[in-house]
Amino acid sequence: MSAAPQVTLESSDGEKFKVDKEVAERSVLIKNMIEDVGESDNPIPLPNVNASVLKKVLEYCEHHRGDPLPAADADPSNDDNRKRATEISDWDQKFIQVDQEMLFEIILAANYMDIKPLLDVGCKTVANMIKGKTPEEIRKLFNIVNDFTPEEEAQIKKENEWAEDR
Amino acid sequence: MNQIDTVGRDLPSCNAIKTAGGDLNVRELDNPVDNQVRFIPAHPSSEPYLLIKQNAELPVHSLPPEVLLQVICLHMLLHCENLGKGYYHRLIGLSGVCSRWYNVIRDSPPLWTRIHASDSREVVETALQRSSSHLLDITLHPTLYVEEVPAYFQFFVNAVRPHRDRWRTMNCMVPATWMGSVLAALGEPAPKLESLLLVDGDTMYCTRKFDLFGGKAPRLTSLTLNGVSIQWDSEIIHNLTVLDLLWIHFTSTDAILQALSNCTQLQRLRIRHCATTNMATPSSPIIQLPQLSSLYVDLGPQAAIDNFLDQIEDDRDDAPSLLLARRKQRRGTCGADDAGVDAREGTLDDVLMSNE
Repeated sequence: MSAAPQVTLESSDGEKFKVDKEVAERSVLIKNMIEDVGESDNPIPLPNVNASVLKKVLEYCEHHRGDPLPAADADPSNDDNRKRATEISDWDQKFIQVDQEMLFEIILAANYMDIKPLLDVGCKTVANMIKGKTPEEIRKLFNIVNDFTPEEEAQIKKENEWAEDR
Repeated sequence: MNQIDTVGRDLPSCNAIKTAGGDLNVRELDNPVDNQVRFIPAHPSSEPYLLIKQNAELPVHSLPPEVLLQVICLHMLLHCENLGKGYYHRLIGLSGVCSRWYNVIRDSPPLWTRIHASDSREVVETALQRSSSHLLDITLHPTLYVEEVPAYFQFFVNAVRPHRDRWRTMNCMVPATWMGSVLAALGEPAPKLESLLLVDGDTMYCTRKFDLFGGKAPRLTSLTLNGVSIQWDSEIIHNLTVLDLLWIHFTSTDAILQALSNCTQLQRLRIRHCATTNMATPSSPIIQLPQLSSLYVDLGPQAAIDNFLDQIEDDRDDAPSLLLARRKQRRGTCGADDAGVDAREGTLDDVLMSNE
């Protein structure tokens, strides 16, 4: 039996990762690159993803290697599509339990590498983190400072009053 | 960085903030209502400018605006979908986190497509404007039930009417005394309306027929009428895949059959708590509903239900279970023809299951 075809990915900091083509092609970006360039022994450069993040991303792709790929023409504005897989699986929850910096780097990498299911998991995780939190609590959670001028604060206060109005 | 004219200018756009460190760009507002207080601090050394720069370097703000929007959309969808009027309160609350969140939320039309009559006038106007050209989901539920249509509700109807070419779904639940004037005020046509729910909670066995959008809603695929009857020869029912009828009194079963004969794409039909005065006769039409996969019928007496089912011709092996059972009965497998198929039991499970 012949071995599964493999490709080499190169992170922004020069580390090389040899992975099964099937795993790497969970990324639409890589899939398209392979299709465009054809079979090659040259490593595929990923200049926007460092080694520690790429390792995590590949861990995800390896775990989900057999999953059906999302439809390319799925309408993202459709609520049904967006609600799809509302629950984050146990494995994914454990996988995404990382510090904030890594969480956002994984989301960025998923966005750059076009791995929609991983992007969904990351975005849902952040969406869940802000559940029930006030703006002040959200600022505290992400270390955001209040950068509104007094005039802008007044505008938001006014909008809040509208929303509470009747 | 150049001095910036503060009149008619916006806070830096999300993209601009993302590239903090270089010049902060500004862009012209295309929204005259929103340009009252939005401006950018003129001096890069000013405190708000430095705070914006500081925020831009946070991990959360490494996300491009479209991803931050996805996070906010998912939050609203997963955790705020059932908030009713609290939806915009939460959304506006989130926009108070920082200027970047404010801009992303304000400039994202998909977040502003829910138009509720229970929201304040300012929120309705703001949502209609910020939803830009996106399709709207409109809910006409009054907060107060009085005899006459109150001024705030009239305002709401008047506000949504000019956006008729953006109506995607409409849920209208109003008292019996309002229904005629509300539907008349909504006018016609509704070119992109896909789903319509009309509920008159006061009326049992409605006989009064309303004209819906002059019959001009070519994209309407889902219609629920509860205590509201319509002109059944209207073209509005021609493209339906889902039809749900409650508390309607039909003059005859023939009238129902005539209407359904125009619904050739119907996949799900529910007739609940309805009644008919005259049952079908041998000269009544036999109809075919080739796409039908789910059926529930309650037309009062069992004889009326069987009489109705017998007018639907369906030889498919995967016809709705109600029709299969009736077919079996008619072939005498289960005894006499008039033994009846209890359409109000069991078959609703099919409907509920098909809904899941």
